[in-house]
Amino acid sequence: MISRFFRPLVLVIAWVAFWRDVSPANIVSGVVVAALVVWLFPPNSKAPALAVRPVPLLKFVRTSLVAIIRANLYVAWEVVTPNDRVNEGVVAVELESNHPVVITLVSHAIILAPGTMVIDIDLGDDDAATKLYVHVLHLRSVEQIRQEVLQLEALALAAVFDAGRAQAASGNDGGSQ
Amino acid sequence: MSDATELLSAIIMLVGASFTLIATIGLHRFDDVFARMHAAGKASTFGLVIIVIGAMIRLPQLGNVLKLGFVAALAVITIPAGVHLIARAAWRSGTELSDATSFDDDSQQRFDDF
Repeated sequence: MISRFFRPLVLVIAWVAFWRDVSPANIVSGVVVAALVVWLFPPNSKAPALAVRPVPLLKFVRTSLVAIIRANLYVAWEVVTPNDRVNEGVVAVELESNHPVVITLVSHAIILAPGTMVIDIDLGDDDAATKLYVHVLHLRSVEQIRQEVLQLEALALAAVFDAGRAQAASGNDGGSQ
Repeated sequence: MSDATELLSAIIMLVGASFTLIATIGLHRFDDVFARMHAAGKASTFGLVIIVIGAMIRLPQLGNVLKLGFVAALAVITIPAGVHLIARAAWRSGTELSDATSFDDDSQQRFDDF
């Protein structure tokens, strides 16, 4: 119920902020635009509900931020130094969950770090595990990439599931209904 | 606006700009579409966020900071989606990859399927 009004509310606030003026006309037009957006792009109702847990979410954000900054420095160094250690590869990683929000969070964090990029996602059938195809710029070890992605996924799971559901999600094919 | 904060913001913005420059050099140096996207797609986002931080120090009024925050947040949220879609399109259309590219069994299978 809260989330039903949360999305349009954020849109209205953003709209008013962009016009830099809290006038009735801006608020009314913001509500119209927000209603239109929510109507055109309805939230995915099939996905199970999520509980956002702030502390694990911060941990997820911090871990990915550290990885992103480190990767940026590494790739920048790689570009400016003449030696060439590039070893491109594509690694398929099977996730434990197939919840869209978890997949989005994990893929997002992977893509934001230079050197790793999700180039394809195989959602599979209802029961199949989701597979991420990750392109790596400096491939050392396939196993290491898999470990890192799964670690990221564990953090993402902890951030958006309550404990009971996280168990269920890793227990039965990612908690689909 | 003291000289010190002005200097600090200038240095931070230059660092950000350097990352964007390095991204562009990477675009030139790397071989295939994916390697180039690693440089162009992400390093430039990082550069943009650093420039925004520098600008926040230079223009610390609440309205400006919020607006700059919007710039950074929207870039960070939308760019990965774009990067992923371009990469997926390239991958699925069977673009020519760098010779050195290695696959594990699953991704080789996937690649052959397209």
